[in-house]
Amino acid sequence: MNRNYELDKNTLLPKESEATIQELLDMLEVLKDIEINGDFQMDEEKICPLRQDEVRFSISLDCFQASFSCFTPLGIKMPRIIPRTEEKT
Amino acid sequence: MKTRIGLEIHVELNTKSKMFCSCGTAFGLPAGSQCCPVCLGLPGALPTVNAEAVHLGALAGFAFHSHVNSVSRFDRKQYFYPDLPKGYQITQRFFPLCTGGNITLPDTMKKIRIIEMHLEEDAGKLIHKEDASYVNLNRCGVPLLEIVTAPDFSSGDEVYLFLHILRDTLVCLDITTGKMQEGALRVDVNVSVSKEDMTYGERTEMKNLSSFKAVRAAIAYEADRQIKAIQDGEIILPETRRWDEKGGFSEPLREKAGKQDYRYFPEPDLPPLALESSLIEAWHKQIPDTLPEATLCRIYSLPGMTEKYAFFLANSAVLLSIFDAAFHEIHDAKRILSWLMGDYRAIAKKYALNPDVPPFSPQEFALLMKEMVAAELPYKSVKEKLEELCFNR
Amino acid sequence: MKHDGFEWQRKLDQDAPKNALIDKLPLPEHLPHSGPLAALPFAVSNNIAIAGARLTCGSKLLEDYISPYTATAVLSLIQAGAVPVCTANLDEFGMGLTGQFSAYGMPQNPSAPGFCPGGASSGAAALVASGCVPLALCSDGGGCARLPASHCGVIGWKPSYGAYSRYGLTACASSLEQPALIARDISLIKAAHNCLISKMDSGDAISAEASEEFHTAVQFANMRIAIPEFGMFSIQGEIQTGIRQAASCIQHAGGHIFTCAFPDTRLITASFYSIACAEASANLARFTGMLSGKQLNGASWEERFANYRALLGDEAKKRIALGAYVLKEEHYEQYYLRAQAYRKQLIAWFKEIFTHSAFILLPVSSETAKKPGGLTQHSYDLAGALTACSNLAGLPAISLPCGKDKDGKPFGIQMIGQKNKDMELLNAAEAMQNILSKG
Repeated sequence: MNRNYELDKNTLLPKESEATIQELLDMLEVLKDIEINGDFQMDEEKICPLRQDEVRFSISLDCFQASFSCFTPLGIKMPRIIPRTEEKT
Repeated sequence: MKTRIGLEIHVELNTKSKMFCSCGTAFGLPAGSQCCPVCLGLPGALPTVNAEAVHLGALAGFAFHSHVNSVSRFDRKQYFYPDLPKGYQITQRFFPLCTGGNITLPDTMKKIRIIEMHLEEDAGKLIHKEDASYVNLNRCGVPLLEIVTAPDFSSGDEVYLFLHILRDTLVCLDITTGKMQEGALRVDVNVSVSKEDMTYGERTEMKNLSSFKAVRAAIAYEADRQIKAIQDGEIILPETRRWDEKGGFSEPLREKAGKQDYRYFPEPDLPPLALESSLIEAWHKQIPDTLPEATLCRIYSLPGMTEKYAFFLANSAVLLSIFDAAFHEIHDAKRILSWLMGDYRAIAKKYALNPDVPPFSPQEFALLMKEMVAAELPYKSVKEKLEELCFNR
Repeated sequence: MKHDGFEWQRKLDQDAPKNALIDKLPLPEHLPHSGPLAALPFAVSNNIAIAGARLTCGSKLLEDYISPYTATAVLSLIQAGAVPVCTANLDEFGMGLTGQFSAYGMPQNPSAPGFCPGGASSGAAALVASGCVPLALCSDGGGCARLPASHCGVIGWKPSYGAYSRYGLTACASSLEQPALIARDISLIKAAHNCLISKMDSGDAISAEASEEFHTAVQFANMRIAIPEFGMFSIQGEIQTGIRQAASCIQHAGGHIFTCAFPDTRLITASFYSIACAEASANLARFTGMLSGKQLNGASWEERFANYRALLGDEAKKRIALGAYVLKEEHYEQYYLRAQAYRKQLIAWFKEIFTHSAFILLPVSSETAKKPGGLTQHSYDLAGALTACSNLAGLPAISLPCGKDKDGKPFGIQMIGQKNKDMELLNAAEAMQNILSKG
């Protein structure tokens, strides 16, 4: 597929011209005088629960393969990738 | 010219289930058989933290004299790649599990500083065939502990020694299997060279070297390359390079280098990881009194000791106690090792005994060594007495 | 064997407002007899997972995607005897306040034909308002259950953040959204609420310790209720009248009104957008086509991903772009950290209000439903501060049908309660409905 627009690597979407999100960015300008005072935490008292380390059967491979046609015995098939240093051929 | 080397080591933690879900972590199963909505990043799936991963991470912290933080936090590291289903990795960027720490190299007693250790999840595995690449997501979500050192190393030899101590300690504590061929331990190196007048040189990175020997060789080559380049007036580019093991050289990656912005921000799906001090204390108490690092520092430089035997003893509490008892009687490491690691092992092999767990006690062996020296017993005599120790039970 | 289920399906076939429905779900062979919600049919917004059903999320991206598992919230309702009968249309990935941003068309507003139903849970509100189902399970990340409920003339309820498990709710604004409920009858919402309160092992680390609270019926006598004033921010006349009427009913019932200045809506909106879009940009990065039914072409993995993501609607693309921008290292402090810092201030403002008032009474929106395209998204966004404020602070909130404007379009009024005192708010809302119907 021919693409004649530039891709934003951060979103893999067409690079937005500043104009399209400018309206939204203008809306955010009002934050400029807000003082940052310490870290933000949604709930001061909440702490992360720790899950017991045990294997629990979730969904069968068959079920996955029914949902995802791209599964092969080797894994999900992709166009040939030029490997990074750590990948095996 | 000063060579500086720093390491980033990824350790696969020896847990039953993954970091953020209850899938198994076994190596080598058919693709897709160890996956669930969470590690596949399916819409609606959410992470939950594996208690044992935190436990093992803390143990590693204690083992290497780090501070285990009572509060740490998870963050998202965002980038696109086929082996990363969510498009981000859950890691700990701003508040890691452990801060600081060090490992002392036993030959020079040089302290290598650890900057931090943090928990994160592994990505999937890519396999490249002729016509296509395949993404196996079984490994995706396996718990990792990333250990980051300061650039305190000056040579590949120092790194080689360090890695052995690190791995032996982690394996001794059952934190990891340490099997590099299974990807349980992965080492990335950063190498820079600078002129003696202290300014840091530009550094290059080499990732996922396949063995400690490869790490040592790659560092030696790269340091050399950079030194020559600087001497020739060239500029070192900050880049990721590929180590070619067969050819024994490094080359720049075909990918465009450049600083990537991972757009880190706190993981909104996980509250802060707060550990009660009583829990941290209980975990701390689980660390044995002697770990390989301490033993090595104690015995490595004894006259007559070799690196090979030092590591043997450091990794075997039984053999170490026998050696120590004997050494207390006769200060002759070379002779003791010759009997314990040479002659005894030959006896063990001949009579199908356990070479690492002799049937005699430290006291018995120590007395034999004492007698050998005091009475100047001939070799044959000592050998007979040693055999007696093995069989007259 | 024939049972009520066939009647439900017939109703959906006949009465479902245009574009409100995504799929009808297969019925169980026998309907449950037991459980607090026995044989209650409910709709599920199509961003909440049901095993075996399409999970389109209102997007072309997931047109063929079938979820292999069911959301905890759905399982909780099923366990109580309720029966999911259909999936409902919504704004793409739950982003939007009008109902115009679904790839599957805008659901018709049965209470105001020709006008927007509100969003993002547009289909859910439309199905409840049309009488097709008595209850809908949907989501509310910034007002997306309360606002369509208000526009369609039904009740929209958002619990405290962390009260219900989000496991199975396609993540968009993770720290802001919760599964939510739309219904015509508040006692139904109360019953469903009790079933949804999260237990341990819900798959959601944040809701893992939600506690059940016991609360008795509410009396307005001697109760203080805060009614904010909005200064420069203008509210449509009929809505203001509705609030005043509610206030006078409360006073008549012995309650006291306490007026206060509402925080700057521009700051609320800015903080909300910054955080919501940042989180959405990260949450939507998983949609690359690798696990979808679609296999698009591309010479490289990057091209394949990009071609797939090109199927996103413009609104979604815009929000993702903004979110990615906000999280860039050079912008992080300026936009994201400041937004979170303001959020802290807002939470403190609410806390202060609740030291002297039991609840806050305010509009759901500044205006009643507009025709599609009739209000810029920007204006809607500003109006969204009225609902987004409780998402930012994690507080429970409910919109109750109040009246109709001069064109016959419904609108609701909103009550906000204290965090983790959801039952108290639900009881207060019930009491409010009672005094409104009398007064």
